[in-house]
Amino acid sequence: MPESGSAVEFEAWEPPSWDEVVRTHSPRVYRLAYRLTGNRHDAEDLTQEVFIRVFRSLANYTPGTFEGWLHRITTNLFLDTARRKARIRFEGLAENADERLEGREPSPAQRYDDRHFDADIQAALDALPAEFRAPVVLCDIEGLSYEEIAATLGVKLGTVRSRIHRGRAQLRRALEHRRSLAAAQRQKDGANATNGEAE
Amino acid sequence: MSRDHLGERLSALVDGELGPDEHETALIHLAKCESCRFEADMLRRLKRRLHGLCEPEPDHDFMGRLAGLSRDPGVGGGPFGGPPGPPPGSFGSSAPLGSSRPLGGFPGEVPAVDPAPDAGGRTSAPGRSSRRRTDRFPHLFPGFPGGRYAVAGIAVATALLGSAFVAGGSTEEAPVVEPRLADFALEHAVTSRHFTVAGTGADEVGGADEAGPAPAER
Repeated sequence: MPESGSAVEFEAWEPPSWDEVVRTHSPRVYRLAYRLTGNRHDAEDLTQEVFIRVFRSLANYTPGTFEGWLHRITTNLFLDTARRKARIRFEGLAENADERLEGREPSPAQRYDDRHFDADIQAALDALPAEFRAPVVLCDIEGLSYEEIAATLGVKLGTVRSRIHRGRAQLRRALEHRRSLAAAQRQKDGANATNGEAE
Repeated sequence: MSRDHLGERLSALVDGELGPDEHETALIHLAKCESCRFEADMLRRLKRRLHGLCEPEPDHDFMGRLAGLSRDPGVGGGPFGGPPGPPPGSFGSSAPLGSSRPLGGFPGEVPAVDPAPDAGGRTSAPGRSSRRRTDRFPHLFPGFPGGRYAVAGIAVATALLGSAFVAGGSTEEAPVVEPRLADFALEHAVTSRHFTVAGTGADEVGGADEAGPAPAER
């Protein structure tokens, strides 16, 4: 009788132990926290704050909805702190600031060594305003849909689309800038080396 | 025509978030607009690289500290529905967990003024949380030996007043998390359509302690 079997299983379900919750969810929360904050120390602090709240809400634990809730409180705690720290006034940002298109053809800079990309892209992410960074991280790193991001951030779907687009545009500009700086530096180093040999 | 570039619809296109009509229109535009094609390509590239970032792992020490939260009296409340403790500070400003300073309290100062244990029963029982709670109250009454006690008294009165706002409902519903898990579960259930949206739905989840956010299992 499979039905009664599943009923028995359902009856027997118990909330997980705290250790289990930590083991299951902390790596994911930590990774999100790391991408949002950009460094280990703040990521640990943020993760800890999240788990303090998890601890207090464990009575309501339900598999399936818990993961989304974790995304939400992690992101909200991050945004709250970022706003407090940097006094970011998102409503002050120009709506059309990122409308213009970027360059027309792949530049030599785009052949930049991908091995440097992790550090570069994290630095570029860190430079993004928190309100842009959160949806980009949730979309591109966490793989959430626009609808899920809208629910996580408590904003409209159109706002999510706009922030992701503008965030990516800023990210690209920052990466281009870093690449051109690195190229200039390499050129300078090369010139110095040549001068040194000539002397 | 192709002057009107796709703009932010490009991101939605790359993310697969355009509706069928918009998707079709965007593809037609891309077929004749080189700059938008280039942009789409760059966006895909960026997205791929963001997605391919290596995944940092929390170290074992940190995991151990998280696991130890359940034994930290400063975290407040029991894990399964106990009363919530004081709200912690922001993550950037709080002390590391290892220092285990109880959030919102000053444990070092209260026992230091321990008046003579004339009642007999109150020597130095190391019950941490009970000591903090019960020993504060006697300092409300024997006069005001110092400004510190006045501050402590005001703090206790504020806490009592604050809890009066919560007294109307059940005590464990103090707003600790935004959003609360039960609210989030309701939203999730409705948006994922695993939940029968009838008149009783909200009531059921609103008052749910244990089973409200379990739409998938029902």
